[in-house]
Amino acid sequence: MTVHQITMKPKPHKRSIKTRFQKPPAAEEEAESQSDYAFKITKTAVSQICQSVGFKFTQRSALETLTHITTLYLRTLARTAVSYSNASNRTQSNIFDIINSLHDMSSVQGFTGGSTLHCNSSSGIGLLRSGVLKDIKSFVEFSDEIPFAKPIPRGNPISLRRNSIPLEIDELDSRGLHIPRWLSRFPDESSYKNCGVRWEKRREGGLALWENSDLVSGGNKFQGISRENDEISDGDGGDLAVERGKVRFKIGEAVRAQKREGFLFLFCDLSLAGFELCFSIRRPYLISRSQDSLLVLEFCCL
Amino acid sequence: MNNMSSSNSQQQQQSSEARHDDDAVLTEFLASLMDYTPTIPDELVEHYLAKSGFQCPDVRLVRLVAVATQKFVADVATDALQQCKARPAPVVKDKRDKQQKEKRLVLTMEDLSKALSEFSLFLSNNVDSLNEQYGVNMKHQEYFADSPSTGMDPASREE
Repeated sequence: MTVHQITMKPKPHKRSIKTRFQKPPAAEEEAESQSDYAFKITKTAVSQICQSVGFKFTQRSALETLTHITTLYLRTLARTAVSYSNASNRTQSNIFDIINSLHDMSSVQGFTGGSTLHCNSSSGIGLLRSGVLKDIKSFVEFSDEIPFAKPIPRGNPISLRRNSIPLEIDELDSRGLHIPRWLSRFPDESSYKNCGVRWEKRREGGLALWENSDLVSGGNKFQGISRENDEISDGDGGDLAVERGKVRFKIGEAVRAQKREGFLFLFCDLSLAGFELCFSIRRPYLISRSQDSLLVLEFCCL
Repeated sequence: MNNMSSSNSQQQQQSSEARHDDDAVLTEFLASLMDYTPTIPDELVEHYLAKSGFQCPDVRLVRLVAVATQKFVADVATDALQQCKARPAPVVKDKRDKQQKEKRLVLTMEDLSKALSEFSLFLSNNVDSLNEQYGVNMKHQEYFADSPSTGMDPASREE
């Protein structure tokens, strides 16, 4: 095989250890990671290209640098194409994205027709007549076809599946065609079906107060209140579960309310004849709104 | 006026024809890529494309990217080869002159960096100057082109 002729020569003179390309020296680390593997394949391809151009030997550093640049070129080309397709609201790239990206990549050297590129951009003729594309076309026509030295086994499906969402085929069939493949599946049915049942129960237990609903209170508070409601609804409607002591009222000043303005009041809908029962965090209050001046009735549990 | 409009329509017709031709040429070219095997294998290109978020089920576009990359590498290598050939040959009077000439065709960092500088890629040891050179980011690795130890074997450097 002609590929084997190209050898790596670490140094033009002195200690010219010529190693066969396919057999890297023992000092070289084994290809462990995936990127290392990809790098080695690129290296082989690049050395094949160098050989086809006419080189007989290569410094290892030069070959590795060229390989690295090849990788960067490839990735930049892909990234630019992706950004072009994303800019036109697509996830899949097409030929025009690639041509645009090729133009970007070769804009530094310049290319034929680069100055008139954007004259016919609306009709797309400029892209179809691209000089870069013509160069590539002639390259394909006039350069010898050198296939890669060895067939590469197709990537293992496990590594692909690791990154994507695991979807069984029958599951894909069962869900509607209108759902894109890349969407993850719903959580288990039990998680949201049970949830529905719980809501049903709550509705049966009696109408929940608006103040106690999800909209007003957060998650934890909501839990507590709903449980309380459940307890209450266990007994006869509206009766307290536990009997409470008598309540005595004491009339205070509005000033006192101002003092405690900072407190968070949690209103409960126990309106009795113009009075609203309020609970501060520290102690309960009874506020009357019936008069112009705000009266605060401090009430103490005995 | 009539003349103008007729010439206009003629132009449009011409342009649409031209476009049709371009379309046909492009389709033909893409179809020819199906028979062409680039040196850079499809699997490798697909790997890097997927890594960059490139999605396309069409093999022909993958081939196009492969061919474009191959052309880039070939261009750089050809430039380097020209640099290599342009260097004055060391005066060696030997019977194995032919063989010597053959051996001269070595891809070295010196030639490579000269070739790459024509592509506006500058190899340097200095990371700051490497930033973004027209798309290809060279920040990743240190290169030896400007360092005093250019082309030196690591083994000989230790000595």
